[in-house]
Amino acid sequence: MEGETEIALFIYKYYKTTRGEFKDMLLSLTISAIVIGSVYGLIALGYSLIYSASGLMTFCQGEILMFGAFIGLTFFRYLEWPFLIALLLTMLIMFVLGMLIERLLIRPILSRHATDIYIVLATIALGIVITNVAQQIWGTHAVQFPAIFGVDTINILGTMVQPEAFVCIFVGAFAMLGIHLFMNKMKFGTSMRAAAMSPMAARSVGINVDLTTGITWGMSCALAGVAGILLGPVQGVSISMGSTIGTKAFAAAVIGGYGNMYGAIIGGLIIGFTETFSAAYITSDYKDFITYGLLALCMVFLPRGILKGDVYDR
Amino acid sequence: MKKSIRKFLGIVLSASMIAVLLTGCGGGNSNTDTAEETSTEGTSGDSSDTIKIGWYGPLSGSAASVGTTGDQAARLAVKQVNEAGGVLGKQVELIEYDDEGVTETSVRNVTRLIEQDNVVGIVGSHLSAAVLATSDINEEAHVVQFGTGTSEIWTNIGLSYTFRPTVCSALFNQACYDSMVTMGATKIATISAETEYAQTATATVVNLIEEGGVMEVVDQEGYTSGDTDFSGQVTKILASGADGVLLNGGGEDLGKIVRALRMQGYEGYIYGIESLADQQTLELAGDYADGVIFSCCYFVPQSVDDALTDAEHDFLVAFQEEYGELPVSEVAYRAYDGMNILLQAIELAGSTDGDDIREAILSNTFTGIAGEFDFSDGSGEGITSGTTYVIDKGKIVTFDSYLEEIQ
Amino acid sequence: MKLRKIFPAAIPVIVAVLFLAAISNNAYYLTIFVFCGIYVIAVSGLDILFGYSGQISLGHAMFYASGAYTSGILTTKFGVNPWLAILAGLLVTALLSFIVALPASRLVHQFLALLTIAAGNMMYVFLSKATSITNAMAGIRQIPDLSIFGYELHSNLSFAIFTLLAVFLFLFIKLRLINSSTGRAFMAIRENTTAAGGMGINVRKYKIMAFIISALFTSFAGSMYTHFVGYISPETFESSLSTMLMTMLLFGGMGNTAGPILGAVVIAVINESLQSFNTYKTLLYGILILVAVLFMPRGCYGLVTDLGIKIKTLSRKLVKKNVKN
Repeated sequence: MEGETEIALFIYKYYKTTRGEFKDMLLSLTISAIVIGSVYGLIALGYSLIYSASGLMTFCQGEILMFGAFIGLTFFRYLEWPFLIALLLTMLIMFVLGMLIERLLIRPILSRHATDIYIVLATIALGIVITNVAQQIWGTHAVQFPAIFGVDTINILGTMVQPEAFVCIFVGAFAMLGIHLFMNKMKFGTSMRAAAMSPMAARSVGINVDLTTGITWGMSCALAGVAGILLGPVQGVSISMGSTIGTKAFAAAVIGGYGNMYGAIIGGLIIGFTETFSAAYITSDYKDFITYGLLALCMVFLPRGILKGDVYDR
Repeated sequence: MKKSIRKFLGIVLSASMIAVLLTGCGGGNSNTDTAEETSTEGTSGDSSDTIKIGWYGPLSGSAASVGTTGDQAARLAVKQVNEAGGVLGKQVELIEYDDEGVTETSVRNVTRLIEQDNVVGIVGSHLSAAVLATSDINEEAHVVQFGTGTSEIWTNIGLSYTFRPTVCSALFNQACYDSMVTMGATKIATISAETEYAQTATATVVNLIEEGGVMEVVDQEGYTSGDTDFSGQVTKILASGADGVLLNGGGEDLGKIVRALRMQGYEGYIYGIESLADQQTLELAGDYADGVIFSCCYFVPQSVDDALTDAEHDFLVAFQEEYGELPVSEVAYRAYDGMNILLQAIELAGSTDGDDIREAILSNTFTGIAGEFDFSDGSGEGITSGTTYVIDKGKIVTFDSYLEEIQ
Repeated sequence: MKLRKIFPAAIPVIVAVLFLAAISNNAYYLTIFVFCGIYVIAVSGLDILFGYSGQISLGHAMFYASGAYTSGILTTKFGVNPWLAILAGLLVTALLSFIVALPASRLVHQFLALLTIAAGNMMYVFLSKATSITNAMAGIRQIPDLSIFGYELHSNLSFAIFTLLAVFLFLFIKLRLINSSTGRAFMAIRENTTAAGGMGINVRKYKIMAFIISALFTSFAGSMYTHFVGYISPETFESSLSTMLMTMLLFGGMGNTAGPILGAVVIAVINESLQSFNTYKTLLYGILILVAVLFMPRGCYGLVTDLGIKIKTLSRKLVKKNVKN
């Protein structure tokens, strides 16, 4: 009799504690997943933008993000300029950098009708070059980007979140809507997509294809720069900061539907949730294995992603 | 027919290209090439007018910041010795190679140092995996290597020409465990990187905890170097009710994890070994670093004046003068000690022969930043000293003084 | 005629042997020689896939790793004869590449590149985390030497000779394959997949076949690497290795025999000579790839043949002039 009560009590206690913890943990994990998912989504937008406007895949968005973070850091922390000026100036520099990449690297390769693998390799190589240039300029140390909003954390339903990461949700959503409308409703945007589908036809109807693709590269680099600055206070700035996050965001773009702006954010959230929850409930050791596995499965069963991105067979 | 001619042309050209490029890459030191022709058989380098010492380690890649600081320290040691007249009356020439933190490249680097550059001794990477992989080469060639990694994987595996110019981390792991006991922790959670160093360190402490029976391990988490998001792991640790967290990994990542833990509301102590003392950990964790307890042999202080010993002070002054900043990691101390011991041993041996140098290392004692080195037991280990420190109100203080303060 | 046919094949053999003899007393050059040989085999394998059947792979490090690790694990943990272990490595790789090729054969262009990158990354995570199987980041050491009839290939020279033989063997296999009906099917698929299907070629079967054969080359190279270095750890098999193999192929020029040899040797040697540049090394490496991608559309081989044609036309002109005079 006594034993039974003990067992019942034990079960009750166990049930209560696990349920209680489970609930809190679930909420907390969900919030964290949304936050990191938006970060991935924000970077994934850059990949999708380039793809939807030129049909090309870039592999150096992570490195460009790192470069942007360092430029922002230089203005904001070392030169102590106001945040807004630092941000705008970084975006401008990154935009020009993007235009230059398109003009000096992508266009010459495209102009001789090379296969896509050359673009893939060129962007990988560019990533290597950017990383090492950054290493020569800013050194190899990881440095902290000062908090932008003056506070380190804000409390959201009991979970502490860094404001910069939280802002990513809004920046991501805003950028997603903005780019989507721009690409589909505005004349310049639609001409970009036309340029991606058939550069030749677009040219013949008077669209300046070179300019449109140049501007897309600029925009995606500027976007990566913003993401870099927002990530700086969250995880510090170092030359290797972009490599992991760049690959994850890439996976996000593919899973969501490559070239689709909504897909990029949705893909980002999927990766965010997969990572956070598999780390908490399955294994944190194989977190990346699961993420890449998801990517591979998606490639096999949903090659066009969840939101059926555009597939250009060039 | 045309095709086969083309094929033949291509292959011949490729072969000649190898030859041209190979001679081309050796061309930089062509004057030593001739010297080497005559001395390949016998003991290396006696005929040349400098004493060549090799250094290899990561100067690019994710471990680059720490590798660079080690390289700088090694260069500084050589410069100081040269200014003081060199070794055996000759100037010391340092040959450095970047292994990108990839063991395959380390193996190639060490082969090149020994076979091509004919170095007299080597100061090696702070990544123990690289030391372990290259030890086969320098052991076979009877060339002394000072590996600056602290992992215990290359102790007691029968190496006789490979030495450690710092303290093996096994000792710190014990001290780390002791500090947990002292602070009255009961439930320990761990987070460790995938690296061999972090895995070994965590496994050692977990073993101690299980054997000790005082505490229990409630959660074991992993991460991959360069990860940006730790919310899954941190949430789980908080849910496990841990009152002590053990961190092992690289300095750059640990700062982020300490930050994430504290931000999510973890209030207990955070334990670990020397990598927590890395300047980058402190830089990235900022104010959140309070309550971090680590055991190590030495750490780089925030300013020269905070140096604990005269040897450390002198080194830091020289380092700052040379490079305009303090080293980012205590790996600089290891490389500096390693280089100095190696050069002193060559002087004591009076020869550049590997066996003589080994004898000199075994039969003498050396003084470095870490303290008194004595390699006479032949295990490759020369020193056992370690202290536990706590970060309190943004300052690193010794564990003992901290205990006195809070009592 | 027969002599003339043998002649062009014999010359490179003689050159290579002479070259090997010339460097035989320098262990460092021999090491580079062996690495070049290993890369030549791996890149030739990649050439079968990309150069001949038109499928991209940016995850070949995965097959290099499966060969290397199967050899390493079987010989150290189970004491298996190294040769049997290499064979087992080939079997494991065949299975692995079949699993990857099954979905991969449905994808084209960048999406194929992506799938292989994802698969390669999964392999890397597995290697660096599965402590009980791969010993994780601590790696596997004291891997025994290969031996032939009881003679251990311990010295660099003996291994270099073995490498040379292995390179010739694999180049021979490659040539035979390319000139067979299978090879022609590959090329038909590369030129026009739809047309190849229309001609009655089982496109999917041949695509998968190309993938597996290519993986086997790389796997053997991985096993050779294992036994030569005697130590393996995951970071060797990161995605940068896949990128390097692809760079070698593009740099050398694909779809021929000499291209992969040129690419592998030149990039390996350049990488080695860049050693003295320390921190600038990877920067220069990156710039080198950019130059190759931008200015050498058909790789070194293309440059060489273009040069050959130019010389020919130039000499013809000269001859004509002389005749006129």
